[in-house]
Amino acid sequence: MPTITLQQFMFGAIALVILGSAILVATLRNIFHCLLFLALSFLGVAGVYLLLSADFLAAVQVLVYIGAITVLMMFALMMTHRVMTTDISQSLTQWWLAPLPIALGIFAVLFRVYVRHGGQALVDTKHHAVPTTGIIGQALLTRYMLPFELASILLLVAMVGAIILAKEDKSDDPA
Amino acid sequence: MSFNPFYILPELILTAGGILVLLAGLSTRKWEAPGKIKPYSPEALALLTLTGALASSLALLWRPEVVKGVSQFGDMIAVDPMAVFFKIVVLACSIFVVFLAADYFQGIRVHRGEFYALLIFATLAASFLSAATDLIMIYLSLEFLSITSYVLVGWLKQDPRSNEASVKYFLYGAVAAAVMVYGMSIFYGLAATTDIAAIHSKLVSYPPDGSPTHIIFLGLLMMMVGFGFKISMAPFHQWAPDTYEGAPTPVTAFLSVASKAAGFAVVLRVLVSVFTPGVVDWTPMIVALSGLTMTVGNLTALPQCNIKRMLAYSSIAQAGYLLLGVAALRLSPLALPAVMLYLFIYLFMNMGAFAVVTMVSARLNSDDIREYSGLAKRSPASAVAMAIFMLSLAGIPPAAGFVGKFYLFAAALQSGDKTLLYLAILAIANTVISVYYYMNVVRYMYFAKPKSDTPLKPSFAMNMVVGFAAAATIIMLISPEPFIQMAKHSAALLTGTP
Repeated sequence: MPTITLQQFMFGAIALVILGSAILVATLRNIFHCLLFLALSFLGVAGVYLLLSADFLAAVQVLVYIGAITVLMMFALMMTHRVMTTDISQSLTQWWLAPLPIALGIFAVLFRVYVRHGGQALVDTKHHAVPTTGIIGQALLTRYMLPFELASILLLVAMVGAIILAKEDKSDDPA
Repeated sequence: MSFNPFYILPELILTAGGILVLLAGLSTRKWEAPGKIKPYSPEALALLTLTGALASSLALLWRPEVVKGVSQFGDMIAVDPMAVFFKIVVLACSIFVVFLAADYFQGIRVHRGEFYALLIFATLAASFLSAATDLIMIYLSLEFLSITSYVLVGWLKQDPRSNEASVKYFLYGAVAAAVMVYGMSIFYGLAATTDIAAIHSKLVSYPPDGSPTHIIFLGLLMMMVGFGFKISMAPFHQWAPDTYEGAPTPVTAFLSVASKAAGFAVVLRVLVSVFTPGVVDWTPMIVALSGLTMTVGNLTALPQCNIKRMLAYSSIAQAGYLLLGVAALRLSPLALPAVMLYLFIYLFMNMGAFAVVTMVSARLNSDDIREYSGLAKRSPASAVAMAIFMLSLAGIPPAAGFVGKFYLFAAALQSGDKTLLYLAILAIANTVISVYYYMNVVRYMYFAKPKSDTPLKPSFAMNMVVGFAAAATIIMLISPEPFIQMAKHSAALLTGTP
């Protein structure tokens, strides 16, 4: 019986969670349930990042994809009542063959990379994991200070813009 | 990593001024008549901010250190004559836009304070874009400019055309930006850095037979999608007509000049500093894109009856002429000054044309070219000015557009390249086509019977703006020498010479 490392075991488990929930996202008929499984799938991807010792990326994945994007979609769903309860068929009757070449193509590329490297791990897993958050923080406030500050102005502008576009203007409203 | 506040003074003024205008906007009522502009109203503050930034940019242009070029924030941005020149063009354009907007919004209930604040921030993004020397900075300022523009385009919430314009612009922009970022990631993958000077030294370090030319070309092509979207280059121009038509006219003017100028700045910088002759030959690609852009723009401009749509296609065609100069960049030392001179002239003639369009549409509530019937009688001064702008855009003397086109064609001919010669011939043929639709406006203004004889009364400020632009267009033809000198002086980059 081949021995496997804890890392490989964890990867297998996480991959099962990602793939399983992704399949459910694509097949379930209740869109709200799809969304919940989408969040689970995102969580699995965060786990993969952790295994690759990309701790910052994992945290961002949880914060942005689960904390922001999925929740935003849930809000959008809850505001459109009918969609919540209706069953929607997800099977495409005419185009079901179209994704096949794309999937096969991606598989071919990945398989080629795998063969080329003789089945060796592409990422150096023996290396000691260095927490990346601190390094990224330092880079943001030194070399990348200007883009970082510019991004903060961009966020301000985006907020102002979003409020302006979304706000309902009443006739006697001072603005 | 260090920086000197003096070198980024225009940007600092814009940032502070933008926030100030945002606050000032809270104290104004959106239906306040523009006749009552107070010193602290958003219009006045925006004008002050932009003028301050323009003055500090002008002060930078002839500083000896700037002429040599300085790098700031650890190679994030360059303060070199080219960057400062494009900042001047963008800032001048925004000053025009403030005047246009003050006239345009007088009858419309909109959030005025936030409008001017966003305009200032869009200007900030455009000025960073013209100076960016790092892929992260290029991407960030380009997206900043785009996101601000999406909001400004959709500012007339009650107008479905404005909403449609904004959504179309957003969808095209998002896709273009995604493709561009993919292209940038290829260069990050090759060079493991985002600094364009370092990417360049990595790309030239490949041995001649081992250079991954195909990958480099693919990456360049993908980046050109994002840049091409900004400069409305065919085949990434489809958003332009609908967006130009639906957006508030001052915003259309901003997109057609400031946004385009900043886009050209980044195209020039990337092509000149990264893709030097040893790396990849992009001249045939730009020649093809230039020919396509000018022909598509001109042929589709012919049947338009909405003046903003017509000017949209015209601005696509103008981008094609400018690309002719970009294509000649490698073979002719005249090309870079010619492109910059043309953009400088384009600033005045296009802003002038949009000023007249704003004036007419604010008074007649229509952008139909037929509404210009008898403008010569209803507002003689505006009609004369509009005729000058149309002649200039077509490139016919007595207007500066002729000088600009002359230099662009001269650069193409000077290069001695066969394909560039053919492209110049195509450009001349296109110019002849363009005369038809530009002169069509003049025909309506002078020879068509007006629907009504009531004179249009442009405000004093609008008369000044239109008069200034018209005067500049004429002066640059009569004595182009100082402007040619300025363009030649500004045609210097921190890294890489064409």
